[in-house]
Amino acid sequence: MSAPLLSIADLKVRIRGNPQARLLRGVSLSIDRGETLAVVGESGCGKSLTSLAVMGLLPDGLEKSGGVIRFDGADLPVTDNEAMRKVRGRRIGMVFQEPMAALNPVFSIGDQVAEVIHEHEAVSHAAAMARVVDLLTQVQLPEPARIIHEYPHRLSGGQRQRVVIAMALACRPDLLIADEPTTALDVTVQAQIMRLLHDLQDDMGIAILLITHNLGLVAQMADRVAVMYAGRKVEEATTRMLFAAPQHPYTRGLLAATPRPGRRRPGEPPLTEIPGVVPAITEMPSGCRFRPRCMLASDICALEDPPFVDGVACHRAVSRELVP
Amino acid sequence: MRSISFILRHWTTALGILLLAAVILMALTAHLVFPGDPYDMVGAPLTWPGESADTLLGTDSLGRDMAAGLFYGARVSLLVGFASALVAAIVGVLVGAFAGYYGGWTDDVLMRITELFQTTPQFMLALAVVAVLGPSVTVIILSLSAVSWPAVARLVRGEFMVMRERAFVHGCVVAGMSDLRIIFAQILPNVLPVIIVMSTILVATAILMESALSFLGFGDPNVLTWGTMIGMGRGQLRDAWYIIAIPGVALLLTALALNLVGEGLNDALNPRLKQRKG
Repeated sequence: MSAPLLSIADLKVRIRGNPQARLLRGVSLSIDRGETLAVVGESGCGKSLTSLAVMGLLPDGLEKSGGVIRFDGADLPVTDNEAMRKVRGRRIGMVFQEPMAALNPVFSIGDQVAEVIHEHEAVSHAAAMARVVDLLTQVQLPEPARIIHEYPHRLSGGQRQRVVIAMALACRPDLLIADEPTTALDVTVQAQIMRLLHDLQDDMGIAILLITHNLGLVAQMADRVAVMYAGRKVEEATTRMLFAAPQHPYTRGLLAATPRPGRRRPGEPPLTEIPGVVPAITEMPSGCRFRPRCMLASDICALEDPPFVDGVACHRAVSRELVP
Repeated sequence: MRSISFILRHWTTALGILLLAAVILMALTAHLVFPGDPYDMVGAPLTWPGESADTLLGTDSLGRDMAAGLFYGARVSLLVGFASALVAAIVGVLVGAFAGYYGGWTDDVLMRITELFQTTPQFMLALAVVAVLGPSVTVIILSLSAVSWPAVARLVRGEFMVMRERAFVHGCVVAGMSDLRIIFAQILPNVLPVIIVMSTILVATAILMESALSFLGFGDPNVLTWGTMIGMGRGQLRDAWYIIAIPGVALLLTALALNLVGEGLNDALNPRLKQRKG
């Protein structure tokens, strides 16, 4: 098997000057070409931080304190802003969740998308515009030749997100990081956008790192799923396996909190929530960080942070072999 | 109610444009309408306006034509006003853009320098610069821009601080654009309307300050300005008040025109108001 497109090994991020505030505690992920990896977890688990670290865009005051990020067979120079500029947009595209504010209000759609092409490639404006029309066709916007002259406020949220995706794909990147790409859109548009991403992936062979807390999207899109909790990966499995036999209590809690019509056993409550919230960085419990919220917690859970073995990091995990 | 204020605003903007156009026309045609030197004596001293057909606006205590002074004065006033506003806008935009976009120590250093200028009384600073470097049109332009750029810098800094958190700016960063490109090609066009509106007020302030400098005798002695005329007329305030009133009214109308145009531009360019209209 060839090396993965992106591999993150033992990535650690902390607040600068505060070794105790470990925001990411050794996250390891890998994505092959053309694959979709979903990263799920509640807000504050470090999902977005992981993707920002890959782009070399950690917020001020945070620093990468360990780990290796390799992309396409070479180390990513995440601390070298000039070198990273050649990666961003060209090799790795990124889509955020707010399509309403994601476009510059004073430029027409065509000029905006063309700007990304100009940034990375020396092509004439006419050539860039021709490619913009192709891109807009690819993201299935109607009448692309007209839309290139429109301004962002004339488009709907779903249309804007299609433009944003077109911008992210303008230079044919190998990897697309989609950070909650459909959260701000209504449900029918969500489904359309996800279908679009899926189609584009088939056409262009790009890998997608999908960051979300919507397990419905995960089931629909992802090949594999990594579950994160409080700055580390607690479970990883193929999508089918994760939904069929979740091992970590946190994963099981997430799944129990997701509506799944027709799967209810008699007497079972429709939805169960995970009690409590993700603890603040200053109030992390000893041992397993999920312990205070875990129904299965025992003495050993308070003593040590469980190692990541066989796709799960939990002392009390149900072994997959035991699951019928 | 709303339509009344709407019409009123457009009407005042039109008036502002008209007045400003008249002053610009005066400045452009000064040498055609009055071919001689405005400092030349053309009639009996202290002729009241309307008294003589040759000097419709009268003459001052040395027999110089008031109308000629008004036309040539418009030249200097507009030149000083627009040039110093332009310099102030350029410096202010550069300082404010970098301070607001980068934040951190860049912001700290640039803002401390800005505050240094802001805490000195504006007119005193301008006066000191002219007193040290000598009165010439160039020095006056520089001194007036030196006192007015901090306001622009602070305004632009605030706009950039808001803008750089906007999702489209993040989008530019992840698309691999350079900082300079984001600052000048992406954010600046969004901030431009505010800068343009502010600049019209800067022009008006600069014109008034130039007149004040000239009134105190710190104007360029080689050119006649409205402030010089007022300064020279102050001895005759009681017996020939028109010498002060005529350039005074010209100043008033010019400053008013610029403010009206600025307000109109604000209405037309302000993105928030524009969005409300649909």
